[in-house]
Amino acid sequence: MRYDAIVVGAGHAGVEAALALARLGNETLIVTLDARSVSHMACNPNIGGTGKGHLVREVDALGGQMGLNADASLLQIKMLNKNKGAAVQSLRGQTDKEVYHENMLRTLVAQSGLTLLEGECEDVLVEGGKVAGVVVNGTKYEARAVVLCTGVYLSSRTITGEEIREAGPYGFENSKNLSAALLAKGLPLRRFKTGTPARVYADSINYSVMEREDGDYDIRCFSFLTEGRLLEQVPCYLTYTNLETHRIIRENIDRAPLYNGTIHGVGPRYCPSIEDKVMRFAEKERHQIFIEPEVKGGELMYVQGMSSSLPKDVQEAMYRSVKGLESVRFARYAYAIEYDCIDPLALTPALEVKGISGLFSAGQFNGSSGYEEAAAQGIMAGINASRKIHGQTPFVLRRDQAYIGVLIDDLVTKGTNEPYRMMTARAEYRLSLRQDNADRRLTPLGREIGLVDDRRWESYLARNEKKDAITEAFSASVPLRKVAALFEEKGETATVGMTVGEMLKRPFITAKDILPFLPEALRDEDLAEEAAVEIKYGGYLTKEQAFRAEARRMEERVLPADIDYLGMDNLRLEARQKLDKVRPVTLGQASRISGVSPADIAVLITYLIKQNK
Amino acid sequence: MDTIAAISTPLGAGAIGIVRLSGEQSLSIALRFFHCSGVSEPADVTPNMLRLGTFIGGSVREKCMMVYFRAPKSYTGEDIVEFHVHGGAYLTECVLDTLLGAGAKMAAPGEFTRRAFFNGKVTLDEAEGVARMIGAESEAELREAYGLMSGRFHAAIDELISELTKVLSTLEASLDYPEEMAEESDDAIKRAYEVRDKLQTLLDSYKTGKIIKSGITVAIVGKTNVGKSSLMNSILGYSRAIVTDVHGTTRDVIEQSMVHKGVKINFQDTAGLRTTGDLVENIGIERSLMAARGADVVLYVMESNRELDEHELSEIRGFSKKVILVNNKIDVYGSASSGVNVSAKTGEGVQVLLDEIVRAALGDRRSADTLMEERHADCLRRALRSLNAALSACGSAENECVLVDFRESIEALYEIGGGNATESIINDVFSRFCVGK
Repeated sequence: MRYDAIVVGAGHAGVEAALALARLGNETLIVTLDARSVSHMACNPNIGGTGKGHLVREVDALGGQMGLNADASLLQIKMLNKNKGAAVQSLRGQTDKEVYHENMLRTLVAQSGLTLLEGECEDVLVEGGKVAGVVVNGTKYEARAVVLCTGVYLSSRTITGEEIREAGPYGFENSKNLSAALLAKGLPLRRFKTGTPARVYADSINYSVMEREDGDYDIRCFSFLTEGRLLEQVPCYLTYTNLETHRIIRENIDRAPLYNGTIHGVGPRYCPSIEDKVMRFAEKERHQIFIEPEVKGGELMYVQGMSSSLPKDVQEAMYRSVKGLESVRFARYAYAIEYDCIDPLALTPALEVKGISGLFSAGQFNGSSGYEEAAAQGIMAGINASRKIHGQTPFVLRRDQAYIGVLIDDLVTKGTNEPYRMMTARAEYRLSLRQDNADRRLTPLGREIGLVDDRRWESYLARNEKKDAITEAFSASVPLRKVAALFEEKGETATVGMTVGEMLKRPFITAKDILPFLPEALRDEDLAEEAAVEIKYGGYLTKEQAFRAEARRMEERVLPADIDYLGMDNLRLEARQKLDKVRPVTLGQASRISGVSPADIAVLITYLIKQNK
Repeated sequence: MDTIAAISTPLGAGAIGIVRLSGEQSLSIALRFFHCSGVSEPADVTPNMLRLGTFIGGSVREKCMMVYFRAPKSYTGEDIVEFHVHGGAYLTECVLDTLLGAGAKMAAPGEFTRRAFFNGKVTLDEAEGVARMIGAESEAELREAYGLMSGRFHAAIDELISELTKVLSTLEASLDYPEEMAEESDDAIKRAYEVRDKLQTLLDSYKTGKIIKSGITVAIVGKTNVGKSSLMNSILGYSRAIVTDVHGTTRDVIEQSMVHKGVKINFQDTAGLRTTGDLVENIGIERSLMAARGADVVLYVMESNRELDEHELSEIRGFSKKVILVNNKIDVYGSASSGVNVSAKTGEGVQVLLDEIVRAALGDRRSADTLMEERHADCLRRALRSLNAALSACGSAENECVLVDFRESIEALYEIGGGNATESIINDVFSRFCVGK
């Protein structure tokens, strides 16, 4: 069997990679162990969150599927940091897991040029340093590009107290043979760990003693293509652990695999298990627990904040010590999961494995965590695999262009010692990389690549034309009488007339306030709010742009792929080794490697000059 | 791009020292301090022409040459201005200091070459030479790193970084974990003010270190014929300045150094202050005032039977320096009740005066707690500037905006010892706060 490209794994990374490949005209095969696990949300039932919401918007702006799929399965939507500035506002949606899976499966099946195959990928074929295909259950499938998106399935095992199973998440089969095959090809694999809380029966919870958490009804959804508001929403509930919960955990800590040496994998600090929280933050008297729906009107609830690998009897005791969970019944117990993944320093910024041309990878296999991080890498790996097939240059987003750029650059330049989670704190150009302007930053690039179809492109043009017109209308003058009237409503005074833009510079003036001063055709609150962001951030944005200009120059200097770093005597030893391992593509990337100093960069510059002679 | 500045000649006493500026603001910064007839604005400066003039700024008042290279015809491809001043580490550092104070940024190692490279200007030979020089520099830094003083300095920087990291991690955590951080409380801003004060103290100690290294500059000022030149001669133990009974004998600033109890003191005898129609003397008086403003300590000399009048009091305040009142001629008029009583003629009180000068300049500190390089001081100044900007915006701007300045501040500190701000902030978030699902 022969395909242009093969994607191994149909999780959040795999589906984006496969859809991108097929939509770019490549005959594509996507292999999954079990079709029921396509886009399975193995952990929390939500999409988005701080930093992650940005990623979803960016994937959408490039022409990806995650945003649309999330919107079609929303149970609740919320804008985090709503009372803070636009740059740190992030969408988070509660989604119906079954609908999410079914929608994506339907999208895959409907996609022309894409074939879904159930089976276990056992080996990757490599000939003369180039990928040649894969072996699925003993059968060879040839391809010019392969994308590995194995998630947490690679030689995985789940741990609940003393009970250890060779299995994937949620009881799915795991991948048994691929790890060894990849190791034999020289891929540097290592072991990471993550975990998930219990799923409990909805009718065994006493919601009346918990705090109800509702969504926001006045905000946009994820995709730039989704119109309107989500009017029907389902609530979540908040409760807390207490001293009794903590006592139960402490008394049983010797039975916790994390503490008794059963688990060796490195877990994420930002996703601590409840036993970790209690042991590390002993002074805290309570921890938040959110009860979230797994499916609409369904029977199961997700207990966010109670991830654990303690034995079942301890789980029962500690869950039941929580207010409102006194008589809770378990559908699935919490577990930790260990899995194999690659050291991402072995990847290029195009997410290609160094030394094996045409082999790409994305998602948790690359050491990240989270559905959104996976999808972001998936679409990029898919695009780059396609470009490889067609002999085009790699498509790499810079750190000043997108959170996707930050995510991938961090992974392949700095590496990671734990499953990597996106945070807004990681983005040095945070004020510019907003979710409201993700389309402006990326949709033209997606169009050029070929993933943005006519419908998305026209909607993009219309939206931004209007937004520009609004920005222009901000320069209209408003007479003192009207300004003073508005200011007075806010308890402020005005002594001169001013433009709409000048009014917006005042912290107490919102986009909604100035709508009456815009031409009637432009009174769109969402767009006015987005256009106002640039004014509100003002000087800070200018400052950020100055940094960007400086960083860009370093980014534009390409380092030859064949530099012999180890033989460069002028470099310090540590720098030689680090540069040789990472093999940076640009001077900018080189400068971000830990252990490479400005003096080392000067040496590299000298080398470049020598080469140019 | 920032305008950068650095001393381009090797440190130490050479015949000529070159201080170089590169970047858009080079010429406008330079002309704030370079005075030369026929040149008052950038358009008056012919490129590639060496001009003689006077550099006036800070404690420097120095005849020097200035040359301007217009972009792109310069080493870096940007506007470059060079000052060729009399050699000696102290003088070139003072000139550099002045330029940095005016908004230039201290050049990072190899930065001139890097800019030249990006603008397609540098030749291979030059680049290799620079790489060698940078190598030598970092070796020297390495050696110095073992010094006790520098160790203390780096410990102080580490402490500032760790304190500031806590401020940033609290603010960052509240942005990335809004739901969980609602429960956490922390007085991050109060902590930031403390860091600001410590930064200021550290910068002050830099000044102390510099004084110890270069000596205390003392300007002797006062009205004509109160015995300023006699006092200097008496201190030095020989006749350096011409002394007569004629008012206005001293026309220019006369400098001489001596060592008192291990501390170097540079005396500047100046023209007496009075109203006169004499053109040359008036220039001299102007210079006296300039010397007073640039000095570490001012000796205001008068005859011991006189009190300060209103005019003198306001003049002294105008120096905004530590001023010691010196009552001279006690052998004739007797002692006064305040100030230091001396007789330049008999030498009485001179040792007391010298002790007083050292105390005024250094307080009780005889050695600097820390010793730092100009490059480090520049980082501290930038860190302080950004921190002040952040603190003044707190409350009126959103946290993610204030964080831009906070970040700049901590990154300036990281430039001193190396390291990655983002990583440490994120590490701190997870070690201090119980966040994450």
